[in-house]
Amino acid sequence: MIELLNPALAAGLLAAAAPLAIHIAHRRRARPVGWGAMRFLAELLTARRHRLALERWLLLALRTAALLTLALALCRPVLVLAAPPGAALTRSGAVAAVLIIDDSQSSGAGRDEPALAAVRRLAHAYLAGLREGDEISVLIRSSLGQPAADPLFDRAAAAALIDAVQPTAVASDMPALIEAGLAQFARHLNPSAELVLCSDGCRDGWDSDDRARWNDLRRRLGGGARGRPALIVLDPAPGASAANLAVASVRLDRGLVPAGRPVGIRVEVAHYGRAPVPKALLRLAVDGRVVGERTVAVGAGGRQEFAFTHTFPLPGSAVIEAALDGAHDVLPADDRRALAVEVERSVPVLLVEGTPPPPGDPLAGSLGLAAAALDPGGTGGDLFKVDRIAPADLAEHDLRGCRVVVLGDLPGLDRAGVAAIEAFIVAGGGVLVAPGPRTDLELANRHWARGGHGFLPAAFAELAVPDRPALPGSAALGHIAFVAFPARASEAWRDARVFRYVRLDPVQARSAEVQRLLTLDNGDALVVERRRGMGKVVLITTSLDRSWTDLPAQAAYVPLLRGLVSYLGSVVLPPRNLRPGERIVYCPGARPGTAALAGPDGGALPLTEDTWEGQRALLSEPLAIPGGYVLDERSGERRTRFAVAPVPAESRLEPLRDDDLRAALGDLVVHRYSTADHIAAATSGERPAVELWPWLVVACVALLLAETWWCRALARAERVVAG
Amino acid sequence: MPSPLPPDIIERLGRLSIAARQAVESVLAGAHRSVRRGMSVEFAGHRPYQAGDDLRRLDWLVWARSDRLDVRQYEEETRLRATLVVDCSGSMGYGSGGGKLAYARQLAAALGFLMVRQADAVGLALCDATLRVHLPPASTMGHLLTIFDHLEAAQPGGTTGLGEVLGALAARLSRRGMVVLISDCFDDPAALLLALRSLRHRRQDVRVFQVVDPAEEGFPLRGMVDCLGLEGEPTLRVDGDRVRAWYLRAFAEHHRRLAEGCHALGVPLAVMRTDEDLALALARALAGAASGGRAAAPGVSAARPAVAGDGVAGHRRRAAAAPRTPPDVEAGR
Repeated sequence: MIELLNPALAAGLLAAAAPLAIHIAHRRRARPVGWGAMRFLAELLTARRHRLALERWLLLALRTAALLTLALALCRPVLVLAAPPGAALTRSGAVAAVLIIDDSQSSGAGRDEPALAAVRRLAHAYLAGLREGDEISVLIRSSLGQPAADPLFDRAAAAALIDAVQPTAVASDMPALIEAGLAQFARHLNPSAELVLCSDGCRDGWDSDDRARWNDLRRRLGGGARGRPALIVLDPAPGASAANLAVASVRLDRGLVPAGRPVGIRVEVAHYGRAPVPKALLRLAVDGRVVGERTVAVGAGGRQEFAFTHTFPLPGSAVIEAALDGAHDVLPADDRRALAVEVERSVPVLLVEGTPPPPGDPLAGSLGLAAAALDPGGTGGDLFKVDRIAPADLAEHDLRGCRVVVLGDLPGLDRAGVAAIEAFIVAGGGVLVAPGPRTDLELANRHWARGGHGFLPAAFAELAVPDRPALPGSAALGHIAFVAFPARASEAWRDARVFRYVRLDPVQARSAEVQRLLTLDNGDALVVERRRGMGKVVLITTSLDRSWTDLPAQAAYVPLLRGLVSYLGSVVLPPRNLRPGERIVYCPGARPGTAALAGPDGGALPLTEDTWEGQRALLSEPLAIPGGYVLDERSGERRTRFAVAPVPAESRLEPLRDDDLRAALGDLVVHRYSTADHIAAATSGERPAVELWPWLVVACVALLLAETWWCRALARAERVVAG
Repeated sequence: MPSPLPPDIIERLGRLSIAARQAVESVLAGAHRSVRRGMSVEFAGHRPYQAGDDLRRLDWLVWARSDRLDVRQYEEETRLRATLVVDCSGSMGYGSGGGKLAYARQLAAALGFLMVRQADAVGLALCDATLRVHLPPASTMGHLLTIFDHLEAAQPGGTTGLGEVLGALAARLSRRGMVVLISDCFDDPAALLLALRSLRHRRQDVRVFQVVDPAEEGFPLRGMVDCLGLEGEPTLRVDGDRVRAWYLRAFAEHHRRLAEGCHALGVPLAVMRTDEDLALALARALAGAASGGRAAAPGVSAARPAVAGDGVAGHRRRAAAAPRTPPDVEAGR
């Protein structure tokens, strides 16, 4: 069977018709001439009719064949012969191999050696099966996103690249690796394409449940301009189930961390695997100073949460780090986890109320009770520093000094006000919206919702006045906004009644972007949230005063409001908590000078000047080592702490099963090898394919030489006769 | 229609020098030798006495020596009777300015003029595949003018059939004389030579003037050409560049066969190219015949195989190296 590697050039075969077309055109241009000596022409044509016809057609055939062979050579035909019996991997000619190596955190797991060492041995075994002329590309997970390099022909150089790969803290992402591998084939020319996935054998990172992404990948793997690449998975055989203790998460019991007040810190420790582990010690450190210890005894497959309490004395940046000591498990890299926090002295909150309070009665007005909940003393000495303005003043107010804006019972906002609110949200600010008697639903829909493009999480459908007051029902208690509420939160607002509320547009309210935080007992939403840009918006469908509900009179009102505002104001930008592979971004603002960055081991790391969201910024290199980082400005005015924490899923170390491969790759044929011997047996076969283009080029040259020689011989003979 | 014999030709023929004229006359006079043996100044042989012979012709010396009664025979000079056979077939129409036939007209007129001027009788036969016109020889100027009229009216057409025409003409020629064939000779050489042999057997002195156009001789056609036959042949589409060599070879072979055949028959063959001056070419042709043209075909040796250069062009080169044309004729003085 003959296959064409460049089928798009097959149209060039039409060029072979050119000599025939020229011949036909030439003959049609015969001019008539009267001739007296016809007997001589008739005699010679009679005597040499066959020879003349033979010469004519033979020359035509030579010229046509020369063009045909050249056009065919450009199509790169490959003669594919029958594969030898027993060959597992069929290679049709020279190989174009793209090796993609997963150096994620799980590749560092292993009792005696990391899994990545076994992966390297398998990759070397594959390289040994290649021959001179085969093309090799090596892509590494932690280097994805960097400019691609041209393929190598030097197997030793490819082996050196593989040997240099070390486990990192990045998360595995097999779909992204496969996409990069498919894109790399565009740099290859050899006909036999092979995509080699060098995996640590863990199923994390395959994301086989992401149907849409894998459907697209399967379509691209099934055939493209270069045909279908052979899929090869090299992963070491799973060993005995090993135990792995990991710090799964470190979180706070609130969104904002106040200075001078105790803060709850919760550390979750997970035990992956079936084998037992000895008891370990969990240490909690804040800015490098141990503030608490616990003994960890988590059963196989179990999780345990440990609570700590710490008071941050001063406002500023801090890093909380939880570390397991004495776990002695297969993956030490996940035995510690860091969390960067910003300790606040006070959070500026702007209240924009439709009905301002009369003088001397701060509890009045649309948001009087809300202001009292946030700043009971009214002095700004609490966590929240509250400002109250009228809607008309919003456009002139500089929102850059605020962290949260509360819109209560607004009849409407002018265009400038809407634009200011939307810009505030996109830039990372939080907005709490609550309607009221003065709210024009239609205006709000037109300017605030704008069919889902505005800042309102969902459009208002109608004003609901239930026959009997609705009661707050289910709540997303795991949400950090409700961290102050105990598990039995239904009792917290059991006595609250909602007499009026705004029913939301059902389609928009059920959108995947809108999260319900609190629902009424009749099923309608009471509190919803939606993210916009880097900020968040929370919508309460009833009023924040007592015009539509008696919630402000309930005990739940204050923690609910403070929890929501804390949550909305907890966004710190640029982000301080990063994943491996991400960069630290620091905006010094108007402060001049440079800064110094130190890693978890104390070593200095370089910073480069750049911009971030239109601001002057300092950026680090992509960070690979998890832990706490400290950035000090040269002026000494400010110290900022960052934390790099790995993806918890990398700690599971669940083996990749054939079912997982089938779920991801479907019916595509996958060659999976776990030992070097298997790879050697599969790749040592003959390559029953021959590229024909060199022979076609030689044939073309030979045909052209033959045509030239013959034409010269004919001309020479004519000269002899004429001479 | 222009005169078949333009005045300048007449003038130049009239101004032929004595030597040239004698050469012409001697050639022509050579044909005058009659085979009839009678009272003449040259002894031709003996035969036995027959009752009724003139007793004055008895050779007494033979009787004295051998006691045999034989009478003497003598060659008798008689007036030349020539017939100009002009080929008017379609192929004679090829060429510019009237083509080969125009040249043949002039040539026939010139020969007729020369013959009548020296009191010889000249006749005319126009032919293609058949005999169109036949004027028996006469020596009067009026007859010559009649010949000129017929030459002027002749138009090329029809096919070539020299063999049949000459054969028919031979039957009409009762008396010994001369036949001058003016044609391109594009006929089967074997048939033509057979007809010439027949004429020779009938004791006719034959001269052949082959009129050739330079284009037919050189084949200048290039590229794809549709050759339209002038004698009704089917059109032939040829690649001129491809067939030129073969054509030239066939053309030369035809001329070689014709020349060898004429040489074997003792028929002088002169090639007259239409781009040559008629008077010079005629004088050269006649001078070549006078210097032994009967004995040797110009430029052709029967022992040497014909090659490509042995065509008309080769003949022309050897004719140039042959006995030179009388200088007076060349100068036209």
